[in-house]
Amino acid sequence: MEIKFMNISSKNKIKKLNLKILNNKITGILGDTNNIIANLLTDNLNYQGIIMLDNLNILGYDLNKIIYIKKIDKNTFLTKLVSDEFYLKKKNVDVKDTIYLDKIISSLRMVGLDDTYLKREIRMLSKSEKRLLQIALNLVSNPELIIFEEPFLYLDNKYSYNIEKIILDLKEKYDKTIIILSQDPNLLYELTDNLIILSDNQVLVSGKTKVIFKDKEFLTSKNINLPDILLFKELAKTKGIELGDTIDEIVKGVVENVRKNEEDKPED
Amino acid sequence: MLSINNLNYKDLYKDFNLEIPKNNFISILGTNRSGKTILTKIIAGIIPTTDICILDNISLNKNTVLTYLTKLGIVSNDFNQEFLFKKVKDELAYPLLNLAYPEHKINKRIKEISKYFEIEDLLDKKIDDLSISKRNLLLVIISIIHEPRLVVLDDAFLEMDRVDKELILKKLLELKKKGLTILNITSDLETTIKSDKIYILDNFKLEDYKEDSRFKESFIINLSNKLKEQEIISQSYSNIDELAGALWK
Repeated sequence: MEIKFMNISSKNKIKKLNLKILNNKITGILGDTNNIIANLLTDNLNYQGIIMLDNLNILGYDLNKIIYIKKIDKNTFLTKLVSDEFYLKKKNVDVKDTIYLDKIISSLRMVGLDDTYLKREIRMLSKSEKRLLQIALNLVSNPELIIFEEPFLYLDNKYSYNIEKIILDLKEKYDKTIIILSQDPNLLYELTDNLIILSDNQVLVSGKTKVIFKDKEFLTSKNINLPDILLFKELAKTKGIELGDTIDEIVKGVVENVRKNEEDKPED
Repeated sequence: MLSINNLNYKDLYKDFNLEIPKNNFISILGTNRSGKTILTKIIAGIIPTTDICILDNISLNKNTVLTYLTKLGIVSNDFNQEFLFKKVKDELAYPLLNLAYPEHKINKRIKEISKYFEIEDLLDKKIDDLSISKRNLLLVIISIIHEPRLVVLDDAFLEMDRVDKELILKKLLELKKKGLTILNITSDLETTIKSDKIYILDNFKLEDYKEDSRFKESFIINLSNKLKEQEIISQSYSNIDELAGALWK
């Protein structure tokens, strides 16, 4: 899904926002007001201007095709049992009950939970389980655009890796468009194709992620942290050492440099 | 400082013991569903227990809970801690008002702690205008404003950026020297590097730390571990400047 924001303004907040989010890419949005894009796409936020989804005005679009997986708050779940929460979502999915149950179970399995969760009370789940459930609930409806807010928050390595794989599969195997809202430059650098940085509801910069993060001076002047890998490479550069782009290349470069320095040291 | 003695909770914790010595920075690393948040809730008295937790010689039960809680500071990512006031200054004053501090003492303490944590410029700001990282930083500061003996941080660093995370860790380690005991319950290996001791909580049981791929390693820890394997450095680092310092003195 290609998304175009054309001259969007809203009371006190946004002034003439123009932006394009490309189809079948992972686009990261960084900045303290990064949820404004998700709110424009999913809320009934009053605005002037036009939002186009695949050349169709958003006003005529089936908004069930857009899902926004926010951070968990007290409004995330509306019912008591996990199964009730899934059946509440059924109104957005046009299938028979038996097929829907299969869909629920495969959605739970995809995130790493099993069907015993259907009988569990949501309030008794841990935050990580709630997060996985929330993702499973949203994926059951086969959306076109998925907006993840801090996708790995609350999740350990195993589950983060699983969710990362789901995100990449959604893009590569199922041609979905993904938006990731995050304040973590490391995550955005690793996972996204394109990046938009917002400040005070205005676009500071947008383009290819790897290109944007190369402009150290600009980012530093706007108080935006660089990913650790680039920060370390910059630091090495100040010592006259050029390092590669992957961790293995960096280790190799550092090892060679340190060993060479030791050899060059005059012996006592 | 804190002892948990023979904790039995549902079918989860069985004869569980924990000893946190005074003036130590202890980390408990746990994956998802290892029992971290239940443990935090038990220490915080949210899950009631009787004479299982002893903090600074106070045994926690329904008669001692108020005294016990004055000795404890707690930040948890699971309790949905919400701010009650619009301004940072008012939020900082609230725990002290609850403890009936007189106004001049409250003002003095806010001045002192905001200078210490370098947030003086935030005092008159609205909470809504703070970044997520700064809001999390503020939660940690609020938890220790009443000068507790022990602070429990349950995934308190999750939404902090690198700069704020390093600031808080540095300042807490300084406070440790002045008598604060720190219990860091986390899934983030990076925050545990400077601990006096690291435990792993696995399926409600405590074990000594050993390398474990289930925990997230930041780029700097990952890099320093690889350089350690090559005998280029002798220890792991979580801070980029410290790693660079060790490599290129």
